[in-house]
Amino acid sequence: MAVDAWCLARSLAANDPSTSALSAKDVDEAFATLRRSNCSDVLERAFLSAFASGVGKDALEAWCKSCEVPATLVRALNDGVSDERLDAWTRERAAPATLKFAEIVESERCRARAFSSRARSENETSASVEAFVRVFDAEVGAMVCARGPPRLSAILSAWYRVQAKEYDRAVRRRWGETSDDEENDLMETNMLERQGTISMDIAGCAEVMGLLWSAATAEMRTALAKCHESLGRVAENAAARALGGCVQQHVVRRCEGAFDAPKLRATLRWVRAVPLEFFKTALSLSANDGAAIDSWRGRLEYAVYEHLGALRIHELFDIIVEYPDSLPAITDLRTCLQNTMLHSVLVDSFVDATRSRLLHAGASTVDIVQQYIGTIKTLLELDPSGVVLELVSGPIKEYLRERKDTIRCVVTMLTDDGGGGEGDGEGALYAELGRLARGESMEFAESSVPAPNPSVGLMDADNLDRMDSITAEMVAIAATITEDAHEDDIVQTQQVLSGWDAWEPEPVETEAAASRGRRRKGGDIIGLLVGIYGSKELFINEYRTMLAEKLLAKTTYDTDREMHALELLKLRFGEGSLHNCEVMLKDFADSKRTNANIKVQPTTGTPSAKDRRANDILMHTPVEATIVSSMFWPAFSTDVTDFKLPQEIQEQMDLYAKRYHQIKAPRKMEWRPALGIVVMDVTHNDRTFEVSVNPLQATILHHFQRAESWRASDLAHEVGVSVDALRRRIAVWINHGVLIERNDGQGVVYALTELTDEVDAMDGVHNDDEHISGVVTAEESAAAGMMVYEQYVMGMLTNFPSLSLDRIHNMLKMFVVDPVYDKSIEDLEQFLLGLVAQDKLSADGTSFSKK
Amino acid sequence: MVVETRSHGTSADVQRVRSPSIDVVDVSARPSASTASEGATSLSIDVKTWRAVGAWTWGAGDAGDVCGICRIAYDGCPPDAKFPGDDSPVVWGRCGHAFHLQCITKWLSGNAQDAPRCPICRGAWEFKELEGTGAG
Repeated sequence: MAVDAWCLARSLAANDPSTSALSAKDVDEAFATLRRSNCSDVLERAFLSAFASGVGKDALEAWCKSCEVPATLVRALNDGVSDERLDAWTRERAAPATLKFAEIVESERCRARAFSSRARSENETSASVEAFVRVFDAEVGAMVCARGPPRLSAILSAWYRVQAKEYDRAVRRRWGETSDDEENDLMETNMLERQGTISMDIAGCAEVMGLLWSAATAEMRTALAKCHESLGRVAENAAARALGGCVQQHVVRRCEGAFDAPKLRATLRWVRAVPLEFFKTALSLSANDGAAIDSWRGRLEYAVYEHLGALRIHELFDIIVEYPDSLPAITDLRTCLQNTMLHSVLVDSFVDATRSRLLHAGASTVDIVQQYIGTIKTLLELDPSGVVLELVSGPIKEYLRERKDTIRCVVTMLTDDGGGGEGDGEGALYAELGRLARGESMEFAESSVPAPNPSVGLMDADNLDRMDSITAEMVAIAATITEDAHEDDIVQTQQVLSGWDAWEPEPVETEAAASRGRRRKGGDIIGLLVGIYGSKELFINEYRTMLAEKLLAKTTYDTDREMHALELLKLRFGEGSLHNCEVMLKDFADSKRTNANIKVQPTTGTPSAKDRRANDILMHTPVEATIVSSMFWPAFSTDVTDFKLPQEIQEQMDLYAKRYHQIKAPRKMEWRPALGIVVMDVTHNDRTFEVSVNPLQATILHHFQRAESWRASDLAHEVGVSVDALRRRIAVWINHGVLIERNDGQGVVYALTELTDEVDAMDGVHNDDEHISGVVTAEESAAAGMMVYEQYVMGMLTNFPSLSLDRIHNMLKMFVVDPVYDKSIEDLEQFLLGLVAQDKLSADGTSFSKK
Repeated sequence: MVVETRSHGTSADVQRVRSPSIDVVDVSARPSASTASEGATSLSIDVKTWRAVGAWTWGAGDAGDVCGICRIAYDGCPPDAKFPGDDSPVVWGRCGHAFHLQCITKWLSGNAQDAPRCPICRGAWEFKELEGTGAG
């Protein structure tokens, strides 16, 4: 009897089909027998082993088989990307199999509970039944853990992604977006966002997709949770992962490259409307799970900040290029940075981008300075404390410091108001100066303390800022480049004094910045640019030189633009340091007045009035003078300082100087014949054109009015310069097609061209600056035929610090094809030594290098 | 190209300028032109503007000599002045020593009780009349 009962119980545990035929009465009797034998523990164990080797094993194997990822889909699954075949496979095979397994386990659990309660006597508590169910659960857990589908989490996550995508699409359609096309929907969303047609209502899943769909979505997690607690957690994590992916995809798709509209707010609204609602459904969260919902919302929003922040950081270089159109993107990034800890990522990534995209030989200095200005503006928007800027600008500054034309470039940008119309960047800094001037005048008005004597104000500012800088010096002893460029800067000091109530604590990154020296006050773009070299003196000297060049090349006395620029610079750098420039401009204004005085009829009765001839000449002379205070102008460096001017010009100039002395006694004037500019009409061979040349060039041509041709040495003697200097200056006339150079066997002869001569450069006026300033050197050794190679040699020596003669020779042979390099190594040596003599190269016996 | 003498406005001077010649007459006859000879070649030049550069000097001592009081070059500007030239004139004493006007004025006003003396030679200070100042 007992044996029969045992067999029956065994087959019942194994869910043998034969047991279904048994009547409930037989079963009850059998169990009663067994209960009497007190063998319930043994029975339960038998049930478990039957489950493990029977139903459970089969179900698990079937599930595993269905969840075996086809080889073609493994990659898509690993990368977590959307793939149609993967989506179909998850939906049609993996998901139903998972649910099926969960169902089987659930029904087995019911059987286990029933079995257990039969095996136990009535007086035993239900607690022991529950204990058995727990043991059953542990068994299931062990099975799934040891032999379950290996990629379960990824598969579930793929499934959730499919569902979320479907939901996302439905929601967007509901908002009025019609396109499913990913390429188009970026544009479409932008448009809709601008029109404000997206109402952004937040509706639950059930409302959007219908109850059935939401139930199906919810079931996955519910079923798995029922199947086993830990499987529920796996489903939850998979959902979180899937939505994280969705958020990232959404951010990239919607925001990439779109800098001109704010994206953050829209994305956050989307997160609340789509992923969060989906979560609520998928995890069956009800309204009273407030804390859980909040925590999920926090996670999702953080994901938005992080992904958008990372994206914008990656795009920062382009954002800067598009500044100020990209301001919305900058604002978004600032919010992202406030909510995340991406500052250091930003610094690293941006420095990398700058290095690879900007700081190389192919970028022009103007572009680099432009981008640097953009960087300053952008990063100060991002981080008003200037710490990030400080960290990022280091490499740019270092690089600019190596470029020779940086100062010149900055000065041009500062002083050129863009009147030349050369691109929009030209006047950028000029505008900045203007802004500063307006800001300052406002401050003066506010404080209503007039600054009666600028130099007094200057000294006050000086002292204050010096104290400030001393403190800073003590803090940052390690500072390599002290940024004391603004010691006497009134504006900055005022900013410091007026900004005391706007103090903000410094961000954490300050610690890193502290090692780099004193922290800068933000907002001072010009200060930052000038500070590239650590001091403003270099900068001001360059400005002075450029101003001098500009003034001396002028043919009128009009200096309004220079005046304006100087006024602005004075506000920025203080009067003291620009005193020289001020004197230069005043010289110019004085010259204008003096020139006018010299050229009018003197008042009758004065001694000079009697000199009628001199007066006549002076009233009609083309000579005008720029009379300079030589101590305040930069040194004029020309190789020729004195030569014989055309006689009548010389006489007119003598008269001019004499009259100057009469008017300005006891001051006298000494001419600098080589400097200045001559505007003249040249008529030759029935062709008339106007040129601006330097006085020496004009003098040389002048002599050809007397004779058709001149031997170079005779002409040089006549003019009073060396043959070399003559040859350099005369090139301009050869270029104009007025003169021609010949060699008659005894030396070089210059002659006027004749109508029959073939002239290559008859293209008329040809005002290039080189000719005006007389810095024409290219022709000098053209006769030697080696001149064309100078560029190549210079180029080589720029790339290599030094090269031997052989090496240069070989490289020229290899690379120079037009004109073919056919010189001997001796020729080359001669030529290179010539360059050494000209101070262009230096030689150390075996190798040559650049000076 | 230094003007040879500081004296001017005299008839001798005018004479000297006049005497060189025909050329000058030529020029005054053809106002804007500066061509010299009679078109001997096919080239002719019409100078519209000859913008020359000159540097002024007070002519006190050699270039770079400094005022004995402020130790700043005569052609520079003394401490109190903003601009050189008209704003910082140089004056000579009868003793031949030159100073910036501002400097010597300050010096003289500082020693008001005594008879004015030249700070360098201690001789009596008297401003030297400039030749031809009347000509203005």
